[in-house]
Amino acid sequence: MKKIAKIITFSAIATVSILALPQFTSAKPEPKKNTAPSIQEDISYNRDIRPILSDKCFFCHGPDPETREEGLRLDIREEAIKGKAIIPGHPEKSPLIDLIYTHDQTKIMPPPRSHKKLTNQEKQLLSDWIKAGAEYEPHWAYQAPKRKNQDTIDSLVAKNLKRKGLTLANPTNPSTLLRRLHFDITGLPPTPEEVTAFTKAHASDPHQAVASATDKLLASPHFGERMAVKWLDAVRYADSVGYHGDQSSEVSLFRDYVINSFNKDLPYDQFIIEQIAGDLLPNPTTSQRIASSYNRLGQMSQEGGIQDKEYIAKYQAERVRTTSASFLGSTMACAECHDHKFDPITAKDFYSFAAYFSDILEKGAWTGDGKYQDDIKKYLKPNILLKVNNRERYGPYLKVPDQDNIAKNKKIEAQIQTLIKEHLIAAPQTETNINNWLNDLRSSSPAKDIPFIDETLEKQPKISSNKNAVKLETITPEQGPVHTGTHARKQTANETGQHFVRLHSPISIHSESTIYKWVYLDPKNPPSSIMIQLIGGPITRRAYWGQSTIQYGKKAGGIQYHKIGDLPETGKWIRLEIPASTLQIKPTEHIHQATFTQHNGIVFWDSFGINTTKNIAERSKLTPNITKIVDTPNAESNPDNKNTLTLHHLTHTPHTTTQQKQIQQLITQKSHSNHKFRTIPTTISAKRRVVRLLPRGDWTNQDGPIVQPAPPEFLTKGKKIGDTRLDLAKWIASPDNPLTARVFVNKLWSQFFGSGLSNSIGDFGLQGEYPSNPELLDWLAIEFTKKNWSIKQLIRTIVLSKTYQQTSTPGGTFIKQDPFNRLLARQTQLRLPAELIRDNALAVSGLLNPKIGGRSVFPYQPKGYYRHLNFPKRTYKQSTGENQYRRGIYTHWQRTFLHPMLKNFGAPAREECSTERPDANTPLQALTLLNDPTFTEAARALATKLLKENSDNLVQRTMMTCLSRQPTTEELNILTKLHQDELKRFTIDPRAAQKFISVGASPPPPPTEIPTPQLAAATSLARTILNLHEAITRY
Amino acid sequence: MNAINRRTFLNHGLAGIGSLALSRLYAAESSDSKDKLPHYNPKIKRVIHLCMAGGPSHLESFDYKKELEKLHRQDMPSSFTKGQQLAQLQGRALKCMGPQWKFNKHGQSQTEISEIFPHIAKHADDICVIRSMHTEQINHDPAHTFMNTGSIIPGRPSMGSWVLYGLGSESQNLPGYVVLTSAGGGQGQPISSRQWSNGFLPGHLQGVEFQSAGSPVHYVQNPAGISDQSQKNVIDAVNQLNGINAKRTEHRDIATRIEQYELAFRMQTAIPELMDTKGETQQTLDLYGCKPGDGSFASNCLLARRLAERGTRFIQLYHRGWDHHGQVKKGTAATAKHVDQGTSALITDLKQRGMLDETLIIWGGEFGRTPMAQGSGRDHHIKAFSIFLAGGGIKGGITHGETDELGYGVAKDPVSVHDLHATMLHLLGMQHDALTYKTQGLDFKLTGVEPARVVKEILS
Repeated sequence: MKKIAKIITFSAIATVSILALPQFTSAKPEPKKNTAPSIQEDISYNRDIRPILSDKCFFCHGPDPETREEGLRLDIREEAIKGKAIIPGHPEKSPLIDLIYTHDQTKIMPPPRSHKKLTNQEKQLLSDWIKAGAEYEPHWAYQAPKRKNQDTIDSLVAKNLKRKGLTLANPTNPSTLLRRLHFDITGLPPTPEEVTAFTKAHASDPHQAVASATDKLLASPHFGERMAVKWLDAVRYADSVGYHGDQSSEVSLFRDYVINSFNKDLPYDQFIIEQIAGDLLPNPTTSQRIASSYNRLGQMSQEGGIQDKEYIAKYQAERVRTTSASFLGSTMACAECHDHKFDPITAKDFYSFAAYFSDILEKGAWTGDGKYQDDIKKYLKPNILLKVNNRERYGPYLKVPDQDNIAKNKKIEAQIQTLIKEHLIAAPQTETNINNWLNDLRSSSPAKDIPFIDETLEKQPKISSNKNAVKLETITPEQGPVHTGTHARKQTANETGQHFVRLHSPISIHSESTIYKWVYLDPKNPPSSIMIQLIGGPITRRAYWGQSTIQYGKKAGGIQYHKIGDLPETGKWIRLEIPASTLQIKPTEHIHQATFTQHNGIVFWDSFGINTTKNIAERSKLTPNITKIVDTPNAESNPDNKNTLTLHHLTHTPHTTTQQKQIQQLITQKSHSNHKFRTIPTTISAKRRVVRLLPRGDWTNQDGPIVQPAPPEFLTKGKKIGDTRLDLAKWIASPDNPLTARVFVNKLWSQFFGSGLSNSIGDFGLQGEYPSNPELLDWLAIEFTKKNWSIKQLIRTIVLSKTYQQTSTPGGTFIKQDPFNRLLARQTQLRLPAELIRDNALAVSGLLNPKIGGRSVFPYQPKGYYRHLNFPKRTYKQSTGENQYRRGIYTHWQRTFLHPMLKNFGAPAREECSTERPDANTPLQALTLLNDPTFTEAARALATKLLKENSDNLVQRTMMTCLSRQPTTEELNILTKLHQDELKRFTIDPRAAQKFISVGASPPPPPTEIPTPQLAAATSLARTILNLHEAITRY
Repeated sequence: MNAINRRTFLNHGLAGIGSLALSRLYAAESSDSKDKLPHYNPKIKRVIHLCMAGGPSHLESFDYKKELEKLHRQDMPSSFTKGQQLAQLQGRALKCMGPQWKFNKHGQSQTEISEIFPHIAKHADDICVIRSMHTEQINHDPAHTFMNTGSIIPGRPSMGSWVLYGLGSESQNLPGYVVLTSAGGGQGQPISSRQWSNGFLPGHLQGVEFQSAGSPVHYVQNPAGISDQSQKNVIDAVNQLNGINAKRTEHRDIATRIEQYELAFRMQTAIPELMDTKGETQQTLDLYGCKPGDGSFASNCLLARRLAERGTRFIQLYHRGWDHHGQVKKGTAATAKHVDQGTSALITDLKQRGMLDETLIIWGGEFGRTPMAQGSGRDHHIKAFSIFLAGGGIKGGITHGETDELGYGVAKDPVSVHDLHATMLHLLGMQHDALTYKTQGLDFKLTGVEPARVVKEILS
């Protein structure tokens, strides 16, 4: 409204020009398109006026002072009046009206350069509104919701429909309804048996049938998986860090948390608090700590050359975007660079919000250049790690026992105990054998040398040296002195030099033993000191001869630097001896490496070993636990010890019974599941970083003011909110927050109807859509908070409504008139989300592994898809066994290269918070369903399952299994023909049939069970049905 | 029928009803674009973006700096760099590094081009070099994202998707937005599929990446044991059954799905046909100097021409190999060798076929490199870098913009990434600030919130 001021200045001329406009020359305004007589009374600022002003005017005449023109604001009534744009009651005198109607292209508002235009209807509305007094209303979403208690979902929908002269559509048929409930609540299809049972129950008592089906589904552990799909989009859950090298990041514990929380119906307010600030709750549980990793799920970078501060700025901005969009339905993103153009969110609000997260212990650059804001070591505890798999990448990490493997091992352990009992009955001599073995280990024979380094040994140890400081040569007797066998090692050192010997297996050294080593010191060039170092167990032991010139271990002293004596005589072979007791070596510590060090000079090193009275070979096989039992007299009288010895014996001797064989197999399975821990980047509250307002979002500009944590001012309205993340979380999760409950119930509504009541799910700001049924949205929000934020109860209320149970195929012109079903005069036909398309195919085929939770899995994926990934390069290893058949939600989520099946069906990369998935219909979807091996394999598994029962009515049964209904005659004819044609083709070409049924990792049944052409043809049939629009749609 | 549909129909009039269905599929959702598209008469039909990933050094390619040569190995004057953001050089002593390659003047225009591009230099009079590009992001991943989507926030649509959203595709059988990649000559920076994402735009507008190994497009091959005929039988049955369903449920999506299955089947034939270069003459193959199917940049250039002929609207060729932190001399020459002949051949080939005038070629990286040495190499640099444009509506044989005497900052006629986008859209007949899409309550544009301008000076 650039010209207003001028017009006002030359008011005389302006008046003339206004009067010259035809629509105001007569008392009657321009004829209305909509001929409703008293439109003024019906006008709602929130519904009718604000959307126009916000979209068409606020960019230049709204909250952002930087882009504000002529100092005029239209978002505040007083300002609009003070600025003389609006004269309440007098559209004909209001310059705003003049300027929207003018034909003068230099004056018209909005100006042509904005590419915004007002429709005649919008102009009329503005005019009528001013005439009625130009009353403003506070933005609907920022006001506390209100409701009348006698209302229900159905009454409020009916009321809305009545205004349009409509009523609710008929209820849908029972089988469609059951499918709808299944896909909406658990995401898995009903079995034909469930459909039959439900149809029967529905006929006698529809309400009861739906209620009990709903309760059963809500109690299913698959409910949490279904609910998690959208939630994980919102909180940008992914298995890789996104930026640059997009390295993997193990975060699956968070997904388990989300699934479990939905399953146990964790109240939504708690759910919010735990994610934003679970770590700050008093004595947080492990689950709450995992929840707070929400803060660590954003993208991170390890790109070389990135600046710490720059990426801290990126991470903090991302947290503001995600937290404000997913919990508050507010698009704060814009305010990173400038005050919001439409919403009353200032740049200061943005950075004050960001400051809430400034306590999170992290780096910006996850490279060597980045720094934690506080000493990370202060926070490391047994369950808080800096490194995972010896690598420091995106720490700190929370370490949590892997319940899957613990449970698995427990199960194996129990099986083993049963088998031991059975074995002892089947082989009663076992006990005697164990006693004999124990006696042998305990007895002493005459002492003898047992060499470990000697070329006469069958297995040679690995020898290496620090090449910079020494020269190590293996010499023969012709080249110099050799003590044992054919070679010795000549070591020439410049200052301190050493060579390392890795023993081929760790050895147990009994404390009564002596360690020996043969050396020959060069008389012309002797060292100043020599040292033998033994490594194993928790610490290293060092014994030395001569001066203390070798520095290794000197500081530590004691058994880490123990002097045995002076240098031995030079020019002859000397046997050095170290009593094990001198270095306090315990038999439970297995020595795996010996190091031979010298300071200067030349030393020839030869045979190394132990002199002992014990059966060292047998002893070295023992675990520390068993060694302790062996060395404690009569320890076997304790039953636990006895059991341990028995198990050791049974797994280390050739099997004599089938039970013993099974025990040996089970033990290897147990050791395979040695992933005892899972980890996740964790949120640790540390020293707060200083957060500044970054002018225009520029992190290099550190001139902006320092800000303190605070929610957006317009929402708190002066109320003081604390400055910790927990304070923020509690403020968001409060029933007094007008946005939180509304945003969530709206999101939930969209899951059950396709569109939200306000269809801008992530934006409840001024540009957001005014709800199609604001009373219903408020009713749901209050219902939700009143029932203790119970998601399950709210879902129950929704699905038991008539509105939900309407048909989605009402006939007539409903669908054309209201394609997005904003009126709710029917249900909506919804394409299943990507994950559910996969789940459905696996479920109907019987391939689905219904396991809940756990690490991410790797379904079949086209070769070479990860070839652009670097630092490090990666190859995709598809999951084997049952893990290949997990639900889609468990698929490894590689942000930069999301699995193509998920991507093709619109799943987001989750680099950012996404509140909606774009609805697309592409040829890539068709190609996926047709050619992705997952679907071909599922079709074959389904065909196998059905043919194993019998081969009657195959078309009908396949259809029933996949679509929960019988085919029509027309459909039956088409599919029967296809089936017969395929059978013919595969009978003629059995090789093609064989290839076709071999797709996938699971084996097809042998041809003796189902002839190959029959199976292939039935697979074609199932594949066709799985490709139908109906198979990926919920009606 | 809006403007786009009409034009698509005219172009494919002979193909009959199929093209109508398709135009509906690929056309812009006019409810979101405020005006009819194109906004005015387009100069070009398509864009081929030769994306030199890693950040080619402008100082060894298109921007000769004599003064820098003089200051070789001397301290970089601190007046240039004080308080400025550097990448890996942050906090280190800064020394100048003179241009590592000789520059010669070429063509009637006497455009200065480095000797590492003997083939491109032959087109000196066809190309417009912009020496005053600048960008906002100093690391590869965000800089690519910014170059492609005009935003550093992930999840925004790439320029190819925007173009497709505005104009639709002219191909009936192939995707409208295709991405091909190659590597060589330097460290292969990772490239995210975010770079060709449709973001919040509808999914059919996404870039489809063609693979150099295996089947060129995911899931384009029939399952083992399934012949084309058998595949067709299945698709026919699916479509018949979907047709019956459509009558019953009146859902508009089903009609689209039927079209998708038809298109999928046509793609399964069209893609092998596209990739099969048997029909190319020896002369053409020699021009590109490649063995078709070898996954090289030159091979991709040949495929780009074939895609252009078949109506693909937006083609992006990534060559990953320009990140020369060390050995910038050897490195730039090595990488140039990978891309020089292919680029030149593409220009020649399109010209010979009369297609250059209807194509915009953009050659350039996500940023440039520092005038300061990083050992034997150069660090990332965002204050100034060079790109070149060629094709319809572009003045050939000119250079636009200048850097300062050391090639550090822009001295004259700066061109931002958003300006480049605005110019590209303009050539396609679209006004950049009118090509908008509303989501989450906001009108998004490729060119962002800040003002952007069409670089009129380079337009013919």
